[in-house]
Parts: sequence; C-alpha cells; structure tokens
Amino acid sequence: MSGPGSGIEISDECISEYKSFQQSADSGKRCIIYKITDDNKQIVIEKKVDKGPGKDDAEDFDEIVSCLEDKEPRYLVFDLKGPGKGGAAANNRVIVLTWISDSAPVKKRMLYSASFNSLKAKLPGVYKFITVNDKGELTYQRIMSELS
Amino acid sequence: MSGGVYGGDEVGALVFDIGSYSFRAGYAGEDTPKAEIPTHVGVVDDIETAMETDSTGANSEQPAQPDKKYLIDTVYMKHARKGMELASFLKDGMVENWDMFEKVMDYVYSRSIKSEASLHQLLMSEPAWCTKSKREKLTEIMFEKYNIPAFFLCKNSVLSAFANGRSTALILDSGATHTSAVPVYDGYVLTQGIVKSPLAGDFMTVECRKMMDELGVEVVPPYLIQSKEAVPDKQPPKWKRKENIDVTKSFHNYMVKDVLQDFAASVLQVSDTPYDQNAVESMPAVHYEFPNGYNQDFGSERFRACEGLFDPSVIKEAQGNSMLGVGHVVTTSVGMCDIDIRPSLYGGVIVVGGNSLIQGFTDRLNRDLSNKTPPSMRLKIIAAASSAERRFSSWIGGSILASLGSFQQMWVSKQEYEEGGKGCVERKCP
Repeated sequence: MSGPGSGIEISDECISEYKSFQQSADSGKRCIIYKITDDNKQIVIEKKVDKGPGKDDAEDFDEIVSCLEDKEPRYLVFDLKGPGKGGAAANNRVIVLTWISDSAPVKKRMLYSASFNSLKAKLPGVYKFITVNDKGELTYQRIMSELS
Repeated sequence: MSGGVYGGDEVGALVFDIGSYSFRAGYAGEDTPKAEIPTHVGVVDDIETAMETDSTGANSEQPAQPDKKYLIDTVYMKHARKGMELASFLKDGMVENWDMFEKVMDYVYSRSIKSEASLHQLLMSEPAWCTKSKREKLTEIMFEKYNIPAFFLCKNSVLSAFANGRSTALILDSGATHTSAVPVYDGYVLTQGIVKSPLAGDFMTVECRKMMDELGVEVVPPYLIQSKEAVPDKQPPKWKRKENIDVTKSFHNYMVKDVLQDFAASVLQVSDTPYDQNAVESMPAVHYEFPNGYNQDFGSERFRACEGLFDPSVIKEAQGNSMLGVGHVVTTSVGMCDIDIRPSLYGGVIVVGGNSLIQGFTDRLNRDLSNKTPPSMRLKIIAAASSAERRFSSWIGGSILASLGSFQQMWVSKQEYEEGGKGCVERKCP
C-alpha cells in the first residue's frame, strides 16, 4: 500500500524519462519538471531543461527555480553534483525537489502533498527528496546544505 | 469526465470531522463544512415514550424503563429544559457512547445534510491514536446501519499536514479537551511520537472561572436572564432572573462555559514572554460586558489566565506540575522520533485547533520553541491566518481529497466490506 494519498498516478512518460535521466552518466539534461494535470488525474511532464552551455549547477538551478510561481506547486527532478566527501570528486546525483508554496491555494497544496507518496514510490534511486514551502528557501545553498 | 467505479463525481461524497467541541459535516469539494454542531448532546428521560410502551406492551411483566430522548444541535441542547443532562459521545477524541453517536449521525443526515446516507460515499477523520476496535466498529456501523456505498477513514493530523502542503510535519492541535502533537512522516503518523496534554480550551475556561471567583464576578449565563439594564463600569449589575428555571448541573456548567469561552476568545492574550506582572501591566486593557450587564476592564488578568497553557508551574493545583505546556508538548514529541527526521519536523510545525486562535498563541510558541530547538535545526511554525482554516483544516483537507476523481480507487467499497469484513479498513486506511 502506498499509504494515504490522493490516488493521482504518475504517468508512464514520467517514469521512462526519469529512468533515462537517472541511468545515463550524463544525459545532458539538468531538470525534468512534473506537474499535476488540470483535471487532477495524473502527474505528467511539464518540461525538460538541458544543462546550460558553460553554466554550472548553481546557475542552472537558480535559473530554473526563478520560473517557479507561488500559486503553482511542482515536482522537480534535478541532476546536481553534491558536495564531495573527503576531497573526492562529487558525484552527479538525482534530487527531487517538491515545491509547494505556503501561499499556494489550499487545493493545490493538498493535491501535491497528498500525491507525493505515489511519486516517491515510482522513482527508485533518488538520492534525496526535499520539500520547500517558501520562496526564500529555494536556493542552491539550501539544497546543498541538505545533501551534506 | 468518465465515471469511476461509483459513478465518478456525480454523487457528492460527504466529509465528517468530529472534534471534542464540534462535529463538522458537509459535501466534499466545498470550501467549508455545511454544518457545525456541538459534540455535546442533551439527554432526557422520555416519560411519554415510557408510558406508551407501558400501555402497548401488555405482555411485559416488568415496568418499562423510560427511553432516553436526545436533543441535538445548538437550538435544542442550549434550551433550558427540566432534567436535561448534557454529555458528549466522545472520550479522548474517540466515540465512547455509540447510541448517542448514532442519534447524532441520524440528525446530521436528516437535518444538516438532508439526504440519504446510502447515496453518499463518506470520508471521516479520526484522531491519530484511534484504536483498531473503534475504527472497526465505526466501519461496521456505517456499512451495516447506514448502508453507505463507500467509506474512508483518515487521520485528522495527516489531512491537516496535506492541507498545509506537507507530507512530513508536526501537527500541533489545540482543541477543547486536549492539546496534542502528532508527527507525520511521508503521510504516515509516527505513533511512538504522539504526545497529549490536557492544557487546552476547557482548561482555559476553568482558569477563567477561577479568576472570576477571585475577582468576585458572578458569571450568569443568558438562560437565567429575564432582563437587564445598562450599568457603568464595575458597578453591580441590574438584572432580573427568569422565574421557574429548573436545570441540571451539567447544563448550567455548559452554559457558564459558553460565556467563558466567549470571554477567553475576546479578552485573553498569551504573553509573548513568560508572565511578568510589571510587563503586562503596561499592556492595554480590554473591556468586556457579561450577559447580565456587568462590565469592566481586564488588564493584567488577560495574560495571567492563559499563562498556564505554556507554563504549567503557575497553575495553582499540584497536578499542574505533571502536565506539559504547549511548547513542551512539541519538543517531547519531536524528541521521541528518529534523530534523522527531527529537522524536518521542526521545519514544519503546523498549528491547528480552535484553542490556538487565542491571541498571542503562535508568537509565544515561536519564542518557547526557539529557545528549545537545537541550533543546527531551522524552526518554522505554520499557522493559517483565517480562523476557518485553523479550525477546519482537517475537514478542508478531507473535502479536497474526497472530491477527486482519482480518489475513487482509495475508498473501501461496500462490496469490499462485504467480502473482506470490517478488517478491510485497517488495510485500506492505514
């Protein structure tokens, strides 16, 4: 059982795209953004973002999250280098960021938080799931601090 | 929209959320509950029914026991009536008196919802500590007696967490009979971390009553008042008592509590910092007029009466020392959870419940917790500004869930119940 939830399912497209993202050493993609469809039936891919030429993780991250809106929660699957341990080179890791602003309408907050479990259950191998509810905390530094 | 197993969204599901103060009922998909009725019910021995049974039941040897008559909802239960006792069907947040509960359910379906139980799927909230036998009994009654097509039971703390955009959080619920902290992780209640304290709304009204006794203020509930005249500040009230009123002690106490609840909501304020006579004396006083016309300013008393919520050592009775103040309820609960998840619990302390609406409640909580939270952890307190969202957070959460087409697969259907028995509620509604 997936536990209490909305019953909203994650689409096959989300899963297959996640797999290719997670399995390739470097897919060239930075982020996949998932959303819940307007009819509240499914989690689908809203868009995919490639790694910016000549841009580092932090720049790409800032650019992507700057497009997020308070009224619209999202799930974001990121490919980010975490801080390396003991001087070793950092690995690329898959981080899933759940963005639900405290100022989003209550229905959206409910939908995205109650559907989180079905998402989590279908995405094996994620290094860390992080939820952010406040735009002020939507920073690269904050995410990195959760990884160390 | 294509219909689901039970016809999709066509027939509205219902959402019932029962608290120790009130029962919230309404249609899924709506913003607020259609009805809110007191959880307390008036009970009288029904003499007429007893006599009828006596005359028709000619074969019965024994004298008939008088039936109980139940008076439900504000209009009926707050009306002075000879011999009427007021009692709640809940104990510790769970249904204790099932007869009374069924009478209330009958009332809610026929008078509040005005529809047949058998037409609507039903989502009900329950306390995090609800026992397996209570859940199964409830499931059995809903399917067997009310013949509902589908049922779902959801922890009220999980609904509150979801409605606040979090699947991991600590829910601090300060209601009428208790204040509780319930850790929720990925949508599941961590039962080992549940902490409860009796320092809540009813405790506050007891403190108010003690304070009125000290001040020599007689609290006269409206049911005793025939008429009153306006009097100047702090002057003896001029009012006429209603004649021939004969009520039970439980009724009188409930009505006095009603007045004190209004007093607490309009006058009391929790001090930002631990109570300090000098500091609160500089704060503005609030004027309050009692139902019998007596009126006065309340200054430092405003703060003193609720200090015990956060600092039980100021409560006069010795038992105060064993009770946990609000901040302590939170830290104790978090302390009983795995060390790895403590940061995410402190990072999402969600405040709900009617008693949390008392002025200054969240400010003081913030201060007390800031002092106790380990420096490595970020503290964040989430409290909805609107009183409806604070008082009805679990109802609202249930309303959104139960209105979703995708939720169809989550319900325990009548067929599943018939095949699997009442145990299926444990399996489908963890």
